[in-house]
Amino acid sequence: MDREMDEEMRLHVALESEELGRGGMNAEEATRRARLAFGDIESHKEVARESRGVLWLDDLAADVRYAVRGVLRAPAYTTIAALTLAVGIGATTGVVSIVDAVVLRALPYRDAGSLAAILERAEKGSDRTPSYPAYKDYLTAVGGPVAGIAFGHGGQVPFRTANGLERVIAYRVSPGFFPLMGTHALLGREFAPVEERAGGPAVAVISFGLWRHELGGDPGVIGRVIDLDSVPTTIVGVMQEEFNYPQFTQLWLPIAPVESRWAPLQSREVHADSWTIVRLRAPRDSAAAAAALGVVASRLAAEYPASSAHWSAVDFWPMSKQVVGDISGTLYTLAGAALLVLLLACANIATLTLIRGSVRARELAVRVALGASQGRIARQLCTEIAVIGLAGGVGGMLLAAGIVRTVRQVMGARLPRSSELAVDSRLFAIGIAVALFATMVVSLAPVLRSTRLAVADRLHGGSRDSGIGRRDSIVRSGLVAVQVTLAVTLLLSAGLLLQSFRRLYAIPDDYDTAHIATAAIFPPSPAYDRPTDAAALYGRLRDAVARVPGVDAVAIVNHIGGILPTPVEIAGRPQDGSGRNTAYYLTASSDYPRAMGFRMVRGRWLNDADMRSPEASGFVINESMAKRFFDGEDPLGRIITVHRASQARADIGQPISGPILGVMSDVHWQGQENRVEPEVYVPYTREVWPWITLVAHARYPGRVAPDIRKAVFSVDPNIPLSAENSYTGVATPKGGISFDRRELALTMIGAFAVVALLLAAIGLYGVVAYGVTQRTRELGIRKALGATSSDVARLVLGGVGKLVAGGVVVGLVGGFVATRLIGSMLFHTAPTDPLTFAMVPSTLIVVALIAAWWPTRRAMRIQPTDALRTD
Amino acid sequence: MAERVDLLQGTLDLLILKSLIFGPLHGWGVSKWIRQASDDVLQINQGSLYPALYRLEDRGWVGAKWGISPDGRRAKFYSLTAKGRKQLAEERTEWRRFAVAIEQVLQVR
Repeated sequence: MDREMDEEMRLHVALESEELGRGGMNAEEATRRARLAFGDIESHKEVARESRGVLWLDDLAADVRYAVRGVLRAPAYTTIAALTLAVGIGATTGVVSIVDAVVLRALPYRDAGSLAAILERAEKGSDRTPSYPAYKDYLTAVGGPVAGIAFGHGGQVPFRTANGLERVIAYRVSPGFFPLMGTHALLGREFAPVEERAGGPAVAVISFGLWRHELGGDPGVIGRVIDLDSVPTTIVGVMQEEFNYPQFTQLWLPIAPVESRWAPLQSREVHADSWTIVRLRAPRDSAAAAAALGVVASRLAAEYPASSAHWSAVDFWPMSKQVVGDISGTLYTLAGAALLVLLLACANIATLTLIRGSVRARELAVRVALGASQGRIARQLCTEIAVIGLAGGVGGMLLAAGIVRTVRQVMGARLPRSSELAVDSRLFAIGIAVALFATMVVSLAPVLRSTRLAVADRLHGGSRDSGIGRRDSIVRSGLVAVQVTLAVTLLLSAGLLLQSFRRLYAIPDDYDTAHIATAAIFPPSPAYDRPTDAAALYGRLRDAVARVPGVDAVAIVNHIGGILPTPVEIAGRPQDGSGRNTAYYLTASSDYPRAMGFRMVRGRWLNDADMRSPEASGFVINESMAKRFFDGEDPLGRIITVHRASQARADIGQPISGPILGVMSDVHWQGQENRVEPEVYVPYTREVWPWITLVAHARYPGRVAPDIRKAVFSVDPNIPLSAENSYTGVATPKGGISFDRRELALTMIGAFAVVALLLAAIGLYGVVAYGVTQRTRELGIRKALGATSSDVARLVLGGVGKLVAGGVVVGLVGGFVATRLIGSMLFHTAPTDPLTFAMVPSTLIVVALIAAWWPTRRAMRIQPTDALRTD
Repeated sequence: MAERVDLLQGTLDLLILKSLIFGPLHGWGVSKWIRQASDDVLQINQGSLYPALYRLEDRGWVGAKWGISPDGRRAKFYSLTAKGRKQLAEERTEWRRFAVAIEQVLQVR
């Protein structure tokens, strides 16, 4: 377009001058006249262009071309700036997306703020979930502030697929469960009233995960009949992907068909494996609803003293807290760290842009002299920054996606709502806008100011230090100090987490975790419903697995680590009906210590004689129980009474007594940071649990796992045991990466800290290098006046030192505050851990010295003649 | 050289359209034709010529094409379109009315 106009107009002038020449003028004169007559080609073009109305578009295209050329001419600056932007934006977007998906985003239930779990509270403050009969009593309080109540009981159900018998997690729900939660099925429908009554057809609503993975995502799944616990069950609906209540549930069934024949549901003593959910009329009705339900609880406490005395109040646990759990603290911390990184990235880019702007001051002055308006220059600079922003933005998007995907993989099921993790593009747009805006604000003003200087000054004076220049250098130094501060804060946090981590993992495990394979055994009904049959089965299983080559020892236990508390009475001590003296109730076989690898502290473990005549035997307790209940006295031989705790047995709650035979060492089943609770072990033949876990000790658990499975099937092929290495099959210690929240926090904050250090180092290098270039003349003169190289070095490094020292001091103060926030994640490490607070500043100073080394060397090599040559 | 007469934009358009009635011309050709046709009275201000040509092209009254001039040089040639012909006729009528009206006013004693 431009070229065409040019060509056209030049031709015009040429023709005109020829014409004049024909009229008798000499060629030179003719050309001059013609040109004069035509006028200025450039301004004609401008007018013509404007008249065509595409002026701004052309300008923009020109700006972009210019920006791209400029960007390519300074590859170092561009790459670093784009990378910095990518890291800052990517980290923040990734982490905040995770926080948003897990913590902030609304739950997939209607008015989730009105849903809560009901917990009965005892007088001294402990909580428990209501039993099924209690739920039915609470139903009488529905009305007014209590809009509805639902009950659900979870368990594992055998499910026959083409690959054999699997175990799925099923949740049996009271009538009206889905409408109360406020969710709808993705395919098909929820339960109909006739299906929720006793005697109704056997139906199920399956989860999205089950549909996708076990049933192939077949759209014709509605109406399909599956074999659930040997009952042909029709699938009537598939739930949406986001509906995951309770977590890991694979199918929902109505409770009515089993209500009358299932022992755990009949008993008021059973407070496990179930949730009772209340829907409030509105979130503010919480107090009124709690009071109404509390009235019912008091009545139950009076009517059923055996099970409910002292449990006379009701608490609500909001659904949001229930789903998210305790991970929100960790996630908020990570978000904070990511924001620090973003700030640092902004400061870094601003520094780099400032420096580059100063370097280009002369070029810009020339352009101003040639007629470019300030607006035009500002627009060009903005375009340049936008081009870098585009490059950085793409990188940032990739990084954010990578972060989200990695977290989802390594945290897996440990992270609530992990299926909803995705990069949030709104956040990304906001992040980029913020970063670019910050950069422009910081760097445009000084650059534009410099163009207002008298052009002559700039062209002749070159890089002479003027008042404006000094203000620029203060801003630059300030930015670097800010970067140092942020880096120190992040490094302190990472350092503390690292210390905590080391301390945690320095403690050896209480048992031989690396050499254990476990298998949860759920004997099919009705073959093993009688305790004697089940006990015989367990014995046969234990013997079969013991014969597997490679297995050193096998044991039976009902749960690894306690979950069911039982009241304990000690003979000779007055009864304390407050329910304070409880211990976890566990049943085990004689080889448990050998299989697990823990030791006995006093006395002996249960032996085969105890298994053969359990009524005449006794119990084993752990150190915590000995300490809490016997505090210094020798517990051996003391008679204690515990109460049967198996929900599926009719004799639940029956007291059984016996002497204490031995004390085992405390085992931190739940991890070193949690306290060990009292535990009592009962011979597995005395309390035959409806399901058990086989624990096998082997040198190479992974290798023997398939043989263990085969051994189980050889005893009874109807025992569901999947082929996976997970809790539904034979579980072995995994060699792969599996993070808990502490490891996640450490890894991410550690990565942020390293990046922060790098960015701060780059910023520092840039500022020092530029400073040396600026002061070339001054340093040369100093040399001429007698300063030595080391004097110069001291000068430069002195400046660096002041800068870094300032940043470190502020960083330590800020870090002190920040690390208090991560205190909950630290194990045996104070937020003011001296080692960390000493190492971090030292590391930073070393890094700063390295970053400043090259420019300092250059400064030392400046000759006096260089001062004259600088222009 | 005769004095340059400032032309109103509308008038310039009219003259340019007329100049093209005998065939395509390039920019300089248009300016020369108008000069000759008016016996050197009307000298087009070059600053207005090309913007006017581009404007006429935008409005679809003239078409433009690059070609080779008689002396072998590359030039952009403008030609009258059917719409342009119609516009020329209309503007010509308009101009006559205008000129007659002015004359009428000036004749009043």
